[in-house]
Amino acid sequence: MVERKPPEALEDFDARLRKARESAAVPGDKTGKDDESQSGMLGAAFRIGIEMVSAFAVGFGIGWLLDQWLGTRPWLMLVFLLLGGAAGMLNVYRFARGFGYDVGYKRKDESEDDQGT
Amino acid sequence: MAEAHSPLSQFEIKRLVPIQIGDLDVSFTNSSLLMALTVISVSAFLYLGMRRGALVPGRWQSMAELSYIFVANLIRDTVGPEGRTYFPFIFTIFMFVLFGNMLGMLPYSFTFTSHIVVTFTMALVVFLGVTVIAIIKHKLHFFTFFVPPGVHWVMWPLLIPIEIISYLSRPISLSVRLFANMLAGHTLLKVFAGFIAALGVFGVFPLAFVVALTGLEIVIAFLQAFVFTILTCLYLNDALHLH
Repeated sequence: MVERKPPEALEDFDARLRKARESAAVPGDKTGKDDESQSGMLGAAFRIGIEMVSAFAVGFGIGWLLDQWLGTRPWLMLVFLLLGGAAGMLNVYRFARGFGYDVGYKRKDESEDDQGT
Repeated sequence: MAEAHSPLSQFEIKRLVPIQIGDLDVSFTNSSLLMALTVISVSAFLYLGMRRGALVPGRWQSMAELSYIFVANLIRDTVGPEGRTYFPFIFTIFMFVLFGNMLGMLPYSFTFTSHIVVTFTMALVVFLGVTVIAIIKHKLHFFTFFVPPGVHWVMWPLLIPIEIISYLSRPISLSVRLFANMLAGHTLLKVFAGFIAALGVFGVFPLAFVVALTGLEIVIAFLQAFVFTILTCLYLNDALHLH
């Protein structure tokens, strides 16, 4: 009885440690999944909207500032609004392809040979 | 009562200690108070939690360790081993946003992350920091980042501005996401809370909704801190590896 007690306690500790490790791993996993599936569609819609609008706003801002500087009132703003819209599309396209937070500028498979240079 | 308090009055900045330096208004506001409280509570949480440093941690210590492990794993998964150097910065951002969001959930409190000035400043620091790191690490090679691969050079004048705009939109989308989520959530909470008194007996329905929404808001408070952190990590990853 006395001999068996310590290993049992150790086993118990092992089980508890494993449980603790699992529960430690869960929060990270859960949030990832929550973000993808549960509130995924709403989150994705929200994110797409923000990506589009922010790129559009940056395009507008750059065009407006360049117009102020060069004195070409409406023209550069119009050009950069279009470019901003395109950049917004690009952001959304990147988001939709990776369907995650992948914001890379080149595709993963091309990254290998590029790193050497 | 419900008319006197607009759902947006909770976001009002109040000067607690007016300070004026020259033309600059550097008053200590309720926003500053909550930021100071956030820093104090994060420090207290971590310092007091780790004070004993027991081999078998208690509840508090394991919470402190959990938050450390959480961010450390996040950096390892998204940035890789090189990201270890930037752990203090990313951990600080995570804890600051998380505690700011959570303290904002307390009644009569104030959520400083619901102000675009605050989130945009943080996003700008991240954006500038990451860009400087990329330029230091890759020198002029950094600018090839804006050249899309596998595209004929004829298209470059069109595509490079698009890539640059896309890059510059990062701090905006990063800050707007956090700010908009916080603003929308807290406004919604207040709007439905306003219905409770107005509907009399039937106020139990909005009450139940507000209770559920409060739970959701706590999840969002965590999730947005997590999203802000993971995006910071991904931008850092881009800067370090320039894929």
